[in-house]
Amino acid sequence: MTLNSTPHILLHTLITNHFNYCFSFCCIMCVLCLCMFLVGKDHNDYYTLVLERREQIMIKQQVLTRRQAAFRSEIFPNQFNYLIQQEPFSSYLIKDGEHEWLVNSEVIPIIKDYYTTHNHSFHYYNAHPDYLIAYQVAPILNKTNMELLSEIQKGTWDDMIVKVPRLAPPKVSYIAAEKFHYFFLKSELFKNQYNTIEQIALKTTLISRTRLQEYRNLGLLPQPDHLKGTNLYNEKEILEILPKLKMEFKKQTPDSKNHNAFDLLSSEQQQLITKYLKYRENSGVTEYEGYRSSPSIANKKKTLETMKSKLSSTFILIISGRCGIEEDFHKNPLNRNKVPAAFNPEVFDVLNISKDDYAFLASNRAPMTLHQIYHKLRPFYYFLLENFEEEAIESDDLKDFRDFRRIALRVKKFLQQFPHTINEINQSDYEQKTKSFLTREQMILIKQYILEDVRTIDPIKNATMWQVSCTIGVRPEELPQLKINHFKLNAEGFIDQDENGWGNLMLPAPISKKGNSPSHRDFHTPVPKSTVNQLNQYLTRLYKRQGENNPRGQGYLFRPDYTLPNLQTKRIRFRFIERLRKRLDFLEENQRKDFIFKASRHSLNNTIMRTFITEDHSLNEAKRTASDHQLRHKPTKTVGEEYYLDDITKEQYYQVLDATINFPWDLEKLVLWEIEKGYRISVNPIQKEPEENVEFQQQLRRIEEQLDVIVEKPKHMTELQWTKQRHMLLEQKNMILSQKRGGG
Amino acid sequence: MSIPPANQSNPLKNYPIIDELDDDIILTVKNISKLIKVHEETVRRWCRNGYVKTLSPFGAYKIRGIDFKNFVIQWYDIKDKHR
Repeated sequence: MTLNSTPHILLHTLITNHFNYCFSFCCIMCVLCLCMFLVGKDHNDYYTLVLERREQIMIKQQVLTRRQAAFRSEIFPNQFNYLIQQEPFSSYLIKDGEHEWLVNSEVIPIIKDYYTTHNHSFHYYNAHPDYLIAYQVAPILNKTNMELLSEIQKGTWDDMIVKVPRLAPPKVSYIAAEKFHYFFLKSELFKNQYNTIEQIALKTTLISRTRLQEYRNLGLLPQPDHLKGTNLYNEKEILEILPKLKMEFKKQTPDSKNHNAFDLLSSEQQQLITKYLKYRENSGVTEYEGYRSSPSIANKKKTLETMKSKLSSTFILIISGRCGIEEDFHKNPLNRNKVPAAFNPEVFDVLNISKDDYAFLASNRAPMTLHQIYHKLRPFYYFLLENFEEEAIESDDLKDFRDFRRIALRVKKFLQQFPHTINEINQSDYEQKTKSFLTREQMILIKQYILEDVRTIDPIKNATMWQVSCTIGVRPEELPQLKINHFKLNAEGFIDQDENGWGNLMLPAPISKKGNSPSHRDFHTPVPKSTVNQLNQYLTRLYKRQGENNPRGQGYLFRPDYTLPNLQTKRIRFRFIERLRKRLDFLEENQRKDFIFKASRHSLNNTIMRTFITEDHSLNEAKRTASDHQLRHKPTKTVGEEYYLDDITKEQYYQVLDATINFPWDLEKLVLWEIEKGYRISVNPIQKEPEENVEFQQQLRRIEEQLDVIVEKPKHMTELQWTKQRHMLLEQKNMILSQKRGGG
Repeated sequence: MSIPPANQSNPLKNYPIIDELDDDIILTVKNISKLIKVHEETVRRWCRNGYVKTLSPFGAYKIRGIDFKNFVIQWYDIKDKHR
């Protein structure tokens, strides 16, 4: 059956089919045609006449062509054509001749109703965010459209599918037989399990969308097998592994990705170093030639790592020297991975060292560095020699002993080259830095400068570190390890205050310097009121940023990422201090150049010791001990004081601190505080203004307010009005000032 | 009325519109162009070339009264020299 008939065919069919159901109609047509032919009229005129006549007859008999029916039912002809051939409507089709089909006009309201209902439902489901059309689901499920359709027809997806009948023929030929649109219910399909990366990123505060996409591109996110190649991931799984993933990703520094010096050594050299480090780790003592190593190592993990890297890099330098490589290639982060071709660790035997090797180390290094290397190398070599000596003595062969003596001599000659003590180094060879001790006012000024620093990401964090160091005396190297729960906290996770506003810090020994500088056993470390406020302000921000999933009162205080409470900052780089050096006009030029973060701790001790407490003179004797406690130093005492004198009382300790470091961190309030305590003589005592002046001042204030309002041109004034207005006000102001002067 | 000494003479006394401007006033390009009747683009060029000190380094120039007056004085001095 052809769907589009041309007028010629139509005419032809009309003339030829005499015996069909519209027999009478055709007879008339024939007669008409004949008449017109005889009269000699134009062909087109006959054609229109035929059509008009035909339509009249068709209306009488309630039949229409498909095109006519489509226009009457307000449906596109191709859609109508498709619909009329479908199951419920096909019975309304009437065959008219070989190629022509007519439509019973009774179908028009029914088909119109059908069309509007299903068209509406198609658009509803298509626009609804909870539904996905089948061709969008197929790639998500990693299936072809045909595979999915066959599964739908089998009934696999019946419980999550909505069928909407098609209103037009499918554009793609391979689904020509398909009579429905299929919409999948999203929640059922994914069972709230799978989601796109972008949607997952919205559900967590831990990570940004771009960073999550970066993880995906690096292939760090696990994906179920059936979803491979799509952007869908298991939401729960991703959210669970995200903190761990982020932590690992953060820990990956350029150093960890590249070779370190230890990796470049031969396996024999590596074994010797590992053996030595294990021995030291298990509190092994080396005793040789009058030298005895310390049985316990403070901060084992960190110290052993330093030992390992120092020993390895020293050996690398010697090997490089022996191989004729002049460049410190392993120190340069840019070409650390490019090991020179001439480099061969086999040329160096650890025990086969000579004094010539010292030259390779000393050529580019400062005496102070060599001194430090010596302190790492000596215990290592003595450990080797001690073991070797034992073996040589136990052996019956004299040759072994001779070998040992030879090696021992060589090692001795090598080690002799290094500067053993600092006294051996010339003063000019190392620069002694000038320390700065700040007053209270200067401490506050520096805090203000830190807060004003525009280049820093987190000025409040920096300012908190500064204030903590200034008042509690936490060392710069202790700051990264300081945890929130080292402070005495209240139920809400903020720092608790006693009735006088003091907080309390219990700094444990392991994180303190060399593991032996903890807070006082009974008094702990008092935290002044203003520092508590500053810390609580910082904590409020921290808790807000870390998200609700992370518990309060736990984790590192100064962490690199707020959302990862247990990630420790490797090393705090005090760049903000370097930046503010230029602004410290109150310091000498030398001091300004050498100004470091630790000046805060220096100033703390200085402030306590140099303040003469006027309120209670007896407290001045307790100052030294109080300062030692606050700085977590071992108190310096004479024999008498140590054995026959009681420690200062808690009351005295707090009184000393109250009189010295419990000052307000505000410049104006500080002046009042210092005057009150008797540390500052009030140069300009505040005088009461005479009552006559009050009126003048009010007038002046009013004029100045008006001037402020029109400092820029108001919209309702022209330029000339504006300038004149200002001129007038200024004249008034000058007049009042001159009157005041005259009166005064 | 005493005659002011020569070094303290007001160079802007002949230009009352400019003289009336106070030091703290903040002028826009449009204000200046309307006050002294030059094209806005001319004022912008002064700012762009750094002849006038501005409060903002790029676009939306704002000029303090004192800076504008200084510019005018300097401008006329230069012109006198050329004459």
